[in-house]
Amino acid sequence: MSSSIITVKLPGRFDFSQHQYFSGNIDSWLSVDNMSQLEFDFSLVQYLDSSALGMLIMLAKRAAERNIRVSICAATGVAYDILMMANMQQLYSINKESAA
Amino acid sequence: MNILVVEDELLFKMIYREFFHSKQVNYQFASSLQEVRVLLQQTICFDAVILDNQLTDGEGVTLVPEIKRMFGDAALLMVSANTKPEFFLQAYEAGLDDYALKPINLELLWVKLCRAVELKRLQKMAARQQAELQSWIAGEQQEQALAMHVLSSLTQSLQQMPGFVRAASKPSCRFNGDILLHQQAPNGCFYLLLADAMGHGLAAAISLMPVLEVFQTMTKKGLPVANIVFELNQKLRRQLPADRFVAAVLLRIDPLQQLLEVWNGGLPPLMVIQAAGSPLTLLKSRHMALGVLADHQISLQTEQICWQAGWQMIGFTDGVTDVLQYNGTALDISTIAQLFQQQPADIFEQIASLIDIVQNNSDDITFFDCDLPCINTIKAMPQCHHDYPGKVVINVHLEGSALGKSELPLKLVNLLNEYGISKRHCDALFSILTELYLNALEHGVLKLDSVVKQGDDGFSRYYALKEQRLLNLDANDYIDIKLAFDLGANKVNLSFCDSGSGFDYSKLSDGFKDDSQIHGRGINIVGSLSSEMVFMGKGNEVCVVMNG
Repeated sequence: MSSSIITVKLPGRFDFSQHQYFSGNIDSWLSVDNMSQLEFDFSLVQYLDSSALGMLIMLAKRAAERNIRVSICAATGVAYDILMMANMQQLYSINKESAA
Repeated sequence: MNILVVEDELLFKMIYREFFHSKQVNYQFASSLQEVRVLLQQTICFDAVILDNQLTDGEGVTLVPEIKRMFGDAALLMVSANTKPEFFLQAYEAGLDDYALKPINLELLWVKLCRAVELKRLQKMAARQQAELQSWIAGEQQEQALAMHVLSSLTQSLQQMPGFVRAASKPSCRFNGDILLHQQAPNGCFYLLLADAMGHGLAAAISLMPVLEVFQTMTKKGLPVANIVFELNQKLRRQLPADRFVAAVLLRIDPLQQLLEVWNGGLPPLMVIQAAGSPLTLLKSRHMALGVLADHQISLQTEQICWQAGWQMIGFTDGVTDVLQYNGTALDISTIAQLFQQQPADIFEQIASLIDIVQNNSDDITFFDCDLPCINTIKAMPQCHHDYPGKVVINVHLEGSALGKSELPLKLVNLLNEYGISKRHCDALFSILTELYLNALEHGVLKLDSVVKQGDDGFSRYYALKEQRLLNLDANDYIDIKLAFDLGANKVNLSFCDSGSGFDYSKLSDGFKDDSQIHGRGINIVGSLSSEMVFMGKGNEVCVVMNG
């Protein structure tokens, strides 16, 4: 049984306007067969607000229920600082490099 | 669709008849002004009126105001041979929607008619929606006013700051998702909680409600920061939805030990500075916000720093860095750090004025600064003025077996509490009474020598000896305590006298500064907490003064 990493690329401004898109897709992202890790590509993300953090937290909890690891890659600048201040590394593996 | 055609010529009526039949709409004819006036009295609803200007009993245009008044929702079109613009301008002013020139092109007339009807329909819909919106807004405002009233009554007492803390805050809307709480514990410590609930508005403000009670009850008991953080996290995790959290800083300021203890989960760093120009200490967010992690996952590790009088601290929520602008650019953390380092005394006014002028901020903004208080700078409780404020004098004589049973220091301090002894005296007095009592009992009455404490199991041998000697006390063994509290001067005079043989206290003068000895520490503590300390007699008497 092969395990796969699914990568989702997030848009430049990750805030409340993305709420519908994000929460609407959580289930489909987490339901992919044989997926061991869900990775979010932050290379385009320039800013995220507290509702984005909330969405990421909720997704991490749901992923944990299904034993799926979650990670963030290519986070830079302000977006990276915000992730660090929120200590998101306690829920996500955070890599500064680009997606594999 | 129902159309009224005001036309008197038979030929045109026939043409209209055939045309409207092909368009499958309902139509009705009126042949004169008089007939129209009769129809206007009835309650038929027409969607459109086609008005020929040339009628047998007058000009159709004269009916325009009346038709507008009675059939306000109908589209009104006029058919005329008149080409003068003034004629139509006047008709428009009276309420005409459109016109067609004779000879009539029916298809063109039809297009104009449909467009006018559609426009009327949209206008009617907009007016209805506007009315609904107004009514909804009025209802909302009433509910918000009530919610506001309830929320502020819950938070009011906790939002009063001590004299050494200044705070500035501006919510993004009526309800503030940020909050700054304070309470002083009986042990003298000040607890401050700065919290930023995810999002803003009423939903965020409500997220803070579970926090209030926990903060109030636990700080009232002077519980450790770690315990309070644990409870807050647990409660929020249970009561908030999975995607909501509260970023927070909980700090405990101990003015007696001059210690600052901080837990920062998700907020920008607290900044502490000794004086202008000196290096900044940043107390960064090292934990996830409250309400996210499970009981076994949350980290309760706090940071502690010691401070001296004159040090300053600032803290703020991310609204400050997200919204405020300084000299045309965003006010980021490094700019705040620079400003604070250069002029710590001015930063509050600077940021408070920025907060004051900002309009339509998209996030809640809170900023506070704190002059770290040391014992001498905390203002005394305001006292009522009596001509003779009064004195409390307590004499205690403990003899024989009563000596071993005492929780005397605690009981005496609690007693003086009722007479308004100041907080700082309270804490210090407790420590002094404990040390002096132990000295009087162990070294004085029981004649235990601290030397016994040395060696591997020295302490256990010492306490075994103590237990043994406590069983053999008689009437010759006593401790006399005299405690005098002057309410006006807030001064405490304390003296102990024990039945022991004393010691050579002349050797102590150097020993005061030396706290390397395990067993000599008690005297040093008493000396540092009091204004005067004097041994008398054989060394079995000691007097201590604590000035106001």
